[in-house]
Amino acid sequence: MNTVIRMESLRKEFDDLVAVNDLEVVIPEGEIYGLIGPNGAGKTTTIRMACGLLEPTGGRVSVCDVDVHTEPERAQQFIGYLSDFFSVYEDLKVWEYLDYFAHAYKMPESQIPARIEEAIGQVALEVKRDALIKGLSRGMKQRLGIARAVIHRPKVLLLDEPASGLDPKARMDLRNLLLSLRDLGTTILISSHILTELEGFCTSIGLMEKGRMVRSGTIEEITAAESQHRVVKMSWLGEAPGVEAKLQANPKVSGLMVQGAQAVFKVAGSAEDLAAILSELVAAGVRIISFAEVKQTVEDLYLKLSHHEVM
Amino acid sequence: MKFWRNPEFVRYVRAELRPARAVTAALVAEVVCVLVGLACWSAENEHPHMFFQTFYGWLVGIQYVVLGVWCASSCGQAICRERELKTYDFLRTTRLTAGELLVGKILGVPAMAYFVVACSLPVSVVCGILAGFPVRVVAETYVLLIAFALFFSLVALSASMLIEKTTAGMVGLLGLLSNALVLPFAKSPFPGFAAVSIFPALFSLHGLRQFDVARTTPTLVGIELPYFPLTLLLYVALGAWLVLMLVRNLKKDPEQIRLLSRWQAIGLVAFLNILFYALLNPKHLATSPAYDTITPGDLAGLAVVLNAALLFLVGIAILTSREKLTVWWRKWSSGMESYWSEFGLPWPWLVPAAGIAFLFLLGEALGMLHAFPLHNWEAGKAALQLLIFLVFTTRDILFLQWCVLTRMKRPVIKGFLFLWLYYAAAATTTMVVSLGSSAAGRHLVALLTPYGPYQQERPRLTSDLDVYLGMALGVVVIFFILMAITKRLQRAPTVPEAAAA
Repeated sequence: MNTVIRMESLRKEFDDLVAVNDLEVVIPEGEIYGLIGPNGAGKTTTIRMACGLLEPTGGRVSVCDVDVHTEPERAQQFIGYLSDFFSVYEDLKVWEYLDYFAHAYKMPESQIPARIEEAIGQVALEVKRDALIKGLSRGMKQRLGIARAVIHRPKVLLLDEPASGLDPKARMDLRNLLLSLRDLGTTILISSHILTELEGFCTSIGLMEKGRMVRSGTIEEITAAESQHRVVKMSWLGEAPGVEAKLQANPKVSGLMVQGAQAVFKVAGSAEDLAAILSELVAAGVRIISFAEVKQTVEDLYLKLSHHEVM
Repeated sequence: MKFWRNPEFVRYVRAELRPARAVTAALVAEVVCVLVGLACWSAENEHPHMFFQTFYGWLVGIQYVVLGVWCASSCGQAICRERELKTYDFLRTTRLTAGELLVGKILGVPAMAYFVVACSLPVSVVCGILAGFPVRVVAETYVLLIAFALFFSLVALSASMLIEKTTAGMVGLLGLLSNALVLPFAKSPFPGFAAVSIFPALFSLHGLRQFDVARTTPTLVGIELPYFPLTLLLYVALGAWLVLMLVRNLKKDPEQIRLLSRWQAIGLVAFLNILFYALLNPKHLATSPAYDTITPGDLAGLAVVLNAALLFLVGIAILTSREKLTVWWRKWSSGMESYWSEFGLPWPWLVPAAGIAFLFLLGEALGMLHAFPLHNWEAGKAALQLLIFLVFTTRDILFLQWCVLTRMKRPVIKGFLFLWLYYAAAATTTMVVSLGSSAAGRHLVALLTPYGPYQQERPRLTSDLDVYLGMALGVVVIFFILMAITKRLQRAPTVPEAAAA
């Protein structure tokens, strides 16, 4: 798969402080990469460098193989950017705002009208097409901001805490919109410290802390690397006095907790080992009604990996 | 890209000139024309010719004030306001080049003012022609108006780029004051500098000889020239430098803004020196001073003072940001960058700037050898004065560079205030010491300030000795400031513990 975003030895110093410390990030095409970390970890600085707003002290960022800082105007055709707190031009109408940015991104003139209608449709602002922006609600302005960021069909979307200040419904809409953009082939780099926002949505994550990338990769890769144990949760029907003893007798099982007809335990082994434990229990006459590995959430991973020194 | 299709221009036109607003503005403009016309008619109703002259004069005056004030205040807020609203980042991440952004802002921000003036234009043009002014004069008046509006829009936009608060609009308006401040130049040996103001060109175009400035004639390289083309030429030349500064920096983060590259700064020094000698009226140069003439020696002294100010301004313009200087230091220490690098210390670039100033002085002296012998120019004295200013400016600029490396907020402004405090303290101390012994006061002045060689009443040798001692002291201070800068640059940046782990 093609690499779309590449950060090489990316570094930013503010006064005496190293805000981003020799970051190495490679994001392939079509990924939704979640940049997570506590406040002050360097996420915003990284995104601002990636979209060309901040000049790095050292290293380079390239988007679609174009250096963002040596060829900024060329690189911008591939980049859509949205920050956490932003304003819009209140004295323009919704379609005028998008028309302005479509021209500013130098889209072909013939494609602009259709693209404006399409973008307005994507963020469900059809009824407000001819309304002045100053009359829109905060959520609508946020959606308009997203439409602005994608108006030129960028290959890369850089989103810095895009859901901050949005209500749950608007967050859900944003999530769905981003998923549809991913389906269209857009690569998304999204930063957030609200981890539930990224849950079940990012294909990869990078955990930043104090300017450094602590871990980076797909959620499965990181889970596999970080977890020596699989956590299993099971429940059964009726009395099963031998369950606890059976599990404790298995050398691969640890951390067993039994409560009524439910048990949670860790297994140091592969999926084959899980299957073997299940067969053993069924053979012993335990009437199992559920037996499942507990998947790690982004939050679990974050808590496991981070040092929590800034939070 | 044609300017009327520039997205930034279109945005402002759409927002400012919505049909209802445009119709209201046009109506107001016409009503104002009618009211001014009625007022003029009540004053001059017996002489239609005079009526049209007065009416035209008022309309043109109002158009200049409206366009000038509107351009200066609105362009003065154009960028800093967008930064405050956090909309500017999105502009910076579009594919608009800095040049396109500049054109869009300069023409689009005051769109309403241009529209209002355009609405009153037919009335004023007809009045002008009925008043007996040739069509050429009326046309030139409006060419001048456009040049004036564009130039002061550029000045205001530059202020808006540099200042982070919306008070930049006030700075833009203050820029308009220069129109009055430069007028006294009309009767000086440099009448051409008065052409920076719009008034001499307007007065002389309309034959308003009751104003003093309209009776003077500026010169360019010794050739007499009307104010109109000279004003246009100055707006174009000075505007070109502003455009260069804006295009270099418009899409940069405020911390990364540096008005000119170092070579461009040297070029600016050369350009301003050329302008200085080109605008001198040689008729005002004489071997012995009179009420309206100066000697070549005086001219050399003026050139030194001008270049002292230029050295300081250029020094400030080429100060390096802390981040860039640190990176340069690391590379220079490992032999990857030269000491003259674009992002190195600024002081080595002050030396060629001073050298160029002296070369231009010599060039002027040699060019006028037919009229004045070389010794009239007191080139040796000028060289010494320039050297003293170079040493003191280097010291002060390095001090400002050191301030930039500290954690001070607004280090350049604070550093500048410290310098001002230093010179105020030096002046006060000198005055106090002079009460006891005037000779001791003079020694102190020469030691602490570059004012030493300007003291007339002292025996030359003593004066020179003090001056050399002052320079030596300046060099020692420079050495210590360089040490302090080096020490700061050698500090390793703080890497947070978690990252180092």
